[in-house]
Amino acid sequence: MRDEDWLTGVVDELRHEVTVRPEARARLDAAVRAAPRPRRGGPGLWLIEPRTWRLSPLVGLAAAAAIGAIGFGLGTLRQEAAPGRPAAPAAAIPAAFSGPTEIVRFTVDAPDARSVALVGDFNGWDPAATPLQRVGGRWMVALPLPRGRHVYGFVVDGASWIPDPAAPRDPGDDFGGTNSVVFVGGAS
Amino acid sequence: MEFTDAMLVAKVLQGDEGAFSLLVDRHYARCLRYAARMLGDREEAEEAVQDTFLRVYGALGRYRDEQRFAGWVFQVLVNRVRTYAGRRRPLPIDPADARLAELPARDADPGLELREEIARAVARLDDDQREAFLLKHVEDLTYEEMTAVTGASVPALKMRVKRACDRLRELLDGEGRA
Repeated sequence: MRDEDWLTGVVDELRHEVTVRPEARARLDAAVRAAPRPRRGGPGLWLIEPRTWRLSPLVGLAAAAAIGAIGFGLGTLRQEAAPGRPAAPAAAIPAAFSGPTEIVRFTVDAPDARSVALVGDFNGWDPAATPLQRVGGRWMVALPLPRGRHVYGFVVDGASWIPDPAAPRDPGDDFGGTNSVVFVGGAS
Repeated sequence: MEFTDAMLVAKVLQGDEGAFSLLVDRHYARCLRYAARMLGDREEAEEAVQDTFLRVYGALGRYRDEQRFAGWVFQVLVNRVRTYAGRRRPLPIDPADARLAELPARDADPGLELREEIARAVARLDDDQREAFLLKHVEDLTYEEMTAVTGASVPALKMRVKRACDRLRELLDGEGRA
């Protein structure tokens, strides 16, 4: 038997659908009804683009060249916790926080970007909530965050969602490790 | 007029919960087939698929119209299935295994024996080979989509698919299938 015929026969068999049980389908519908409503800008991520951002700070020049080709530049991204010493333009303190917070500064070298926003679990993943301010070719923002683990990313030019290549990825991210993680106050 | 997946997503984001049910209707069976072929267990496959759609629902605000919705769902599904596969016992390869026996769609199907034979052979593949083979040949993902879904390079995926085909043929020929 020719390889193509053999493969077609095997694949045809594997394509037979597994019966969908009504009770399983009903369970899913009930779980969806009980879940929070999705909204634009919510957590999650897309298929292709974030994988092009797997770069090391050590290759910032090469990264900037590649990024410039698609309209904006991003070199080394850096995020650091600086308790009590906001060294960048400070964003509004999120009203919902209670308990101790620390000032966390986020900086992005993106000279060709028209806008950069910080999005994370601390601001409802809202690209309009925490814009960074341009200082030369660098974008900065500092904001108080509660102690603990936070997941975040950057939105460049309102469209490109990128992780922070200088920070650990969120292993719980379903969409390819496209968010980053920061621990505030030495939490683990 | 039939709504596209992207139109249904927009309706969900406007508050139409029923639109998500239509999206699930369109993609559930295919997701269940993949999960079942990968996990070899109906109940685990249903759990993985439910988990997948709940995560997709929560992340729907980030879906972009130009994406193929099925590929987007599969990105979550493959991760969920990997998680389930990582915490379970080996796939059933004994034809008497109750988990495997539940999988076929039609119990009285005359092709059942052949299908079970093929399912057993697929279950014997290495996880990464089985994953690549099913995504490529059964679910019709492109290699570019598979790269996004699995994190593996195109050459690596092509090699996995080829090895899966070679191994399947070896296994099925060994069971008397020409």
